[in-house]
Amino acid sequence: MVESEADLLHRCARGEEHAYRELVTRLEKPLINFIRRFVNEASLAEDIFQETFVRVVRTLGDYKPEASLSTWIFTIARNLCLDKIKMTKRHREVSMDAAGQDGKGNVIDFREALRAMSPDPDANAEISEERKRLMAAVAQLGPAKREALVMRQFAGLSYQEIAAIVKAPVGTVKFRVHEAMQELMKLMGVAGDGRKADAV
Amino acid sequence: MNCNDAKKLIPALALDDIDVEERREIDKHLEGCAVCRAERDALAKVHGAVKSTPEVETSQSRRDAVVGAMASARAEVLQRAAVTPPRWNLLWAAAAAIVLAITSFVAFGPSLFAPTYRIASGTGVIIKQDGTVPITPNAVVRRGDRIVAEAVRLEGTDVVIDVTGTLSLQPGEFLLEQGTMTVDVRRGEVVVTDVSRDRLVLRAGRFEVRIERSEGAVGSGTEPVKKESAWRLSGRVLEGSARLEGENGQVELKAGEKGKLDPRGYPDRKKE
Repeated sequence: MVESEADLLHRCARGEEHAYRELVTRLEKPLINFIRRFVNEASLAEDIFQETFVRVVRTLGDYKPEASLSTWIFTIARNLCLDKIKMTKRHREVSMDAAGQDGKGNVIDFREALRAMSPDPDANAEISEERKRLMAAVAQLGPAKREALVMRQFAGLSYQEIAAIVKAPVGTVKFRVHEAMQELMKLMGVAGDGRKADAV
Repeated sequence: MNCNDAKKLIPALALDDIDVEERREIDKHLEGCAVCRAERDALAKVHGAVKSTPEVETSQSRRDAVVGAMASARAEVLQRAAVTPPRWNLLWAAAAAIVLAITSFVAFGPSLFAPTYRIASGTGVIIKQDGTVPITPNAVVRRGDRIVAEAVRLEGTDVVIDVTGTLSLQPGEFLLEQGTMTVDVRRGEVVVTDVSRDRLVLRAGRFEVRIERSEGAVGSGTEPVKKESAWRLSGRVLEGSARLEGENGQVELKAGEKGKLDPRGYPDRKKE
């Protein structure tokens, strides 16, 4: 029989290591997929995954049973991701103009800049060019569209679950996912008029 | 349906987020519109690329590392009880406190200074909004604070509580997250609850409250009876009376009686 969330929470509050393990095992797959695709950096994703559960231990008393345990934990992870993205952005602003210039007057190619921003060289060596472009494009989406898309398409959450995490109506979440798909199409250079700038 | 309407629905079509009626309409439009068909095909390719992205693998070593970090985090919270509070420049601190007290008293009135509860004795930590502090004698505990205690005695005007475990002070009630507590109610009613939302309403008297493993047989009609267990709130009335409320009923308890809830939240009362 699957242990209830309340029961698991009680055991976690007691500091039972088996309960910690059960909690991590239950959420590992969707959560690491969400974080990994949201921040687009393997080592950072691992750090956030761990920090999420450390926060869970430190803030168990803040948990309100109105939300499901997984919704609460996804909310913690999402906030950590947003914090990290903000910090990273401060350090690596890149012009969205294809022919933009850096502070020294050097011309920056937008697509090259996207590739350079992909901060997971080992993993990238193993994956196809197509996937690299996809992930770089996902990383260029605004946070609201990106999180909705990633939660839906990579973490497999329902629209209702996403709505609870991001505290937005279900219709808004759907709209963001749809908009994100259209933006991906443009960012990846897949033309909607039947021609392709680059093969997908 | 025109092209503008179709463009709005094409992402929904690609993701299969579309209802039957909309699908029928857009299919009809796509039959006669090459531009929208191209848009649909392009989005389908992007969706295909998204779906073909391999999942991040689960990993035993990741889980081990995270569980270790969780255990360390808990130990850290508990160990802070032993940390000596930072040294204050007592003169400046006292002067600042007096100024603040006078200003606040004028602004908000005397009610601001009524502490919720005071620590009489014990060991553990108080987790407040702005940080964690070790439990010290005479420390003030307010609503919203969380106490992780090896053993702590809390005193309020109408109630005295001895707790071992984790207790959060919610508005109008105490949330016992784990452990046990002895409650001495001098006046009025005191509500103890747990994360399952079970409630124990204590009237003037003395009580023992705990989170304990509750087992019970469940089954109905043609379904076989099976045993289930769950952590539930339970209480003993030493003096006075109480009411135990679960998801599926409530029961009144008198002195000398113990009440508990089965895994489904049905109450049960026993004489001791």
